[in-house]
Amino acid sequence: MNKEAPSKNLVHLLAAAGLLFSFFLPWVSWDGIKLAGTGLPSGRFFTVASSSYGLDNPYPGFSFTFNLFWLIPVFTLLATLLYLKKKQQPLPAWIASALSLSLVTVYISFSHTLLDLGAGSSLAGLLQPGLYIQALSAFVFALTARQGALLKKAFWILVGPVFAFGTYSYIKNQLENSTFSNTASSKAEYTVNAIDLIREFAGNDSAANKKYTDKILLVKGRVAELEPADSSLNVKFIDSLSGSYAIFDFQAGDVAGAKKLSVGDSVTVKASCSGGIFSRLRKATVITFKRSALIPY
Amino acid sequence: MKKTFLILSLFTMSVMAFAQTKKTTSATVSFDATTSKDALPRADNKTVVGEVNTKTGEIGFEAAVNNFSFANEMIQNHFNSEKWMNSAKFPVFTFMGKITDLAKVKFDKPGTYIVPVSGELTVRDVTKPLSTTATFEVKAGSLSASTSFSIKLADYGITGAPIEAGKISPEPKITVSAELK
Repeated sequence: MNKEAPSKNLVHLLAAAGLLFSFFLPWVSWDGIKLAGTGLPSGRFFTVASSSYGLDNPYPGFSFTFNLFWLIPVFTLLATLLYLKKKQQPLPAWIASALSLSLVTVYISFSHTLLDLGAGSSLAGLLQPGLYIQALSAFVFALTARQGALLKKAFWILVGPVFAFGTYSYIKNQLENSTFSNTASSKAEYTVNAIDLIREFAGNDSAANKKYTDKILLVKGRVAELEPADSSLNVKFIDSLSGSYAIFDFQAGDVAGAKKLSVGDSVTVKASCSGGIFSRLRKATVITFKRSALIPY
Repeated sequence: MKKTFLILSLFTMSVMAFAQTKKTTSATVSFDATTSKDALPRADNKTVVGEVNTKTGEIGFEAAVNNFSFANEMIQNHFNSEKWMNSAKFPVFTFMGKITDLAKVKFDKPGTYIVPVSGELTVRDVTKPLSTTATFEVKAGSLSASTSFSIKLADYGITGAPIEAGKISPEPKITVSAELK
């Protein structure tokens, strides 16, 4: 065993056990949906955030970095083995602790953001015992990894939370202050003929809504109606057989171009689809689009 | 034959000129829940369906919830999320009402008329009575209508920490304007 006093050995091993097992226990409960520490690296974290609160991973291209957190149990086991073999190698324990505390920080910060979306009435109510056990275990595991070296221990205990909180705050600030980019430069997920689209919605609105809502579409058609909307102008494509229509509200930079259009013009519009509804007043299917941009035909 | 065609044309034109229902599919509804702490919760929807029956005074408006356009993507997602407007489940805001003092509005005489309107507003499938004052402006061949009022979010089951924290107004201002033909 290690040269530490037996009681210190026991504390270190208990911290290792706490760190390992609480990683798989619930850390948070968002409206009854419980997420363990595995949630972020497994992808379940953002699956739940997206489906329940509309919060997607802002940088999906970097999702692979979350796999780093699988190193928490791996390094905890490695550090424990080295400790039991009396190897003076505190680095794996410190890395495991730093990763653990940074993950705890992300869960707390994100849960705080979810309060704004009605996930609960208080932050404490969202946090589960698993998170407290994980944080305490990580703290103790780092402290008891070796004798002395207080400055190093303080560094490894603080580096994770400081980095995680700083990164989280930066991303949150970026998202809160960002505006929609020019729709013309967004990639269209579907290219459709206007009348075909209208008939697809009229035929099965739930399937069409699932397919197109909140997607960027490139819609081609002949202008059936131009309607003033405040200081702007809306373009409509109408299915003359049913009276159902698709209507496009333009982004600020494209209003002038829309005002030059005439009924009968063939146009291509790229826009964010807001989905279709059945209008009781018009007795027809209405498909609305926002932030539209005119694309040269 | 020519005479019949002329009579039919005149009849059709008369019907159009005195059409009882004035309509639009491009009414604008603005939603303003900004506070001194947060200027982001503000949006416009410019594709609102609206109708005014000039004979009965009946009014109707339908707004697709998901077509409220915010400057900020995150706030727009919040607005449509399950805990707020839940636009996937409750896709439409509706107002169905009536001009309560119809005699005061001369739809056949150009002018500006300010009259009380009352009806029912439905948000998230919760219907509450609503009374306000609307301005109708009668012009040759068209009718414009506008109004503004506030709603209590709590009346429609919308509560939460951001309202309590003063980030979202508990009583957002709704402004409606429409050019009806």
